[in-house]
Amino acid sequence: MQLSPDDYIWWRFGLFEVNSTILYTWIVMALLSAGSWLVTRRLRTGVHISRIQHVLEVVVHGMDQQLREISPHQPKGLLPFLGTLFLFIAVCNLAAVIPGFEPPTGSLSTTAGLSICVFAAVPIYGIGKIGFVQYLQNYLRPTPFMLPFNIMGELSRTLALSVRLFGNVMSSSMIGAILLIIAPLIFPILMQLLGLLTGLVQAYIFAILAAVYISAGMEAGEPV
Amino acid sequence: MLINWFTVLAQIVNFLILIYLLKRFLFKPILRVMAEREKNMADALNRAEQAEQTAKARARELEKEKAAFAKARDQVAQWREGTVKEARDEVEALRGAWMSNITRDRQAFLDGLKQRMVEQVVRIGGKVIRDLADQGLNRQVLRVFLEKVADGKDELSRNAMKRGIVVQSGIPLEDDDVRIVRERLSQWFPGVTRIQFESAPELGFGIQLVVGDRKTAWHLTDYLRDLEKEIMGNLFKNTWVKS
Repeated sequence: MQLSPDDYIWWRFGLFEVNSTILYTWIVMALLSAGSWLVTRRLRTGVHISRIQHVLEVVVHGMDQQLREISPHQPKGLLPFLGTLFLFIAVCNLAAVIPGFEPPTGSLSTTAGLSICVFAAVPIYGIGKIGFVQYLQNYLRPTPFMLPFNIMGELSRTLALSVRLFGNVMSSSMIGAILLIIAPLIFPILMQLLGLLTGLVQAYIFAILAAVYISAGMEAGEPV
Repeated sequence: MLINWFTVLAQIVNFLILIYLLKRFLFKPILRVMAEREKNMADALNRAEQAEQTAKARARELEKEKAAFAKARDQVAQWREGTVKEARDEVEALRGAWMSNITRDRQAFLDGLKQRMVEQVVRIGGKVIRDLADQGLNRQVLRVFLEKVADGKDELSRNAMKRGIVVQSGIPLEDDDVRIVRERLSQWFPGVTRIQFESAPELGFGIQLVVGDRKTAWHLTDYLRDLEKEIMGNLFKNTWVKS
């Protein structure tokens, strides 16, 4: 039994290899990009717009609103970053219901990669917003004694972020597989439906937490 | 080992590429179009608001015009009423004048007609009497004439002495008649020597006695005139009562 789709290798050349995680990531990427391109190449600005344009507007506007609630003064590039994060995770998780599809988010490598991105984004946006010194001073709050704990917190939350998503998605597909063996009728479908819900919730949680971490990093506190 | 570090690296790269792609194909166009649509809608709303303001202003204007029109209509109605009343009064006055003219003309015509009728009747009456006059009727006339002279003889006798008596007759007198008259006159005016008889056709059917500037007479014309007066009086009295 395979625990991670990383182990299923399609093609290898030296250190370079194409495993299931990378392959399905590419498929999701192609799906998202092509879908977006197909819809947005003929956008209309009138009163009457196509349904799919409406759907995309609702999705983008909804994400924008959520982000504004968390961080009212968001920098320009924050929406594409967090929006892409949410859409990618959501599509990966939802596509898990397709038989044969291995969700890339079920691989700890993927979730770790995404967490590292968030981990890197926090200081990038924070320093961009409030400056290098101010940002570093945030680690000394509320007192300099908290510095090791702040650094540990930073690392552990990144770890938690990746493990939470991985655990949920992996367990969801694992439960589906186990239930197929125990009770092949009906129950796996119910679990798959539950998987859809948890998949969307996990995508939301990941994106929201990333938004909270980044916006917390952009806040300038009182001088130490 | 659950983590494949090559895959981690590859996924980071993949994710960055995906960010770029979605930014390029999804977020930018959608956000741009949304902003544009919001702007269009705001413009449309502004235009609608402006149109509403214009419509309201126009409605107020129309309301004013309507009020002015109603006022003008009232004035016209008032003027029309006055004019119609004036015209009606004028027509009434004209009609009254016309009616009174007609009544007057009719009255004049009827009066003329009656007068001519009476005159004709009297004239024909007189002619008939004259045509039918004979000895007997002449005698009757003489008798009545002499009675009148007898009544006024005292008055006449004062002048009769110095001026004499003239008897003028419109009817032919027989010798007997002349004799009777002469006798009577001699009897009533004893001192009078000159008694003259004259024929006077202008008197018509009548006879008169002239003493200086005094005279006593009997004329059919007098009777007829009295009769005419009476008939006319009665006729006109009736006419006035009727009209």
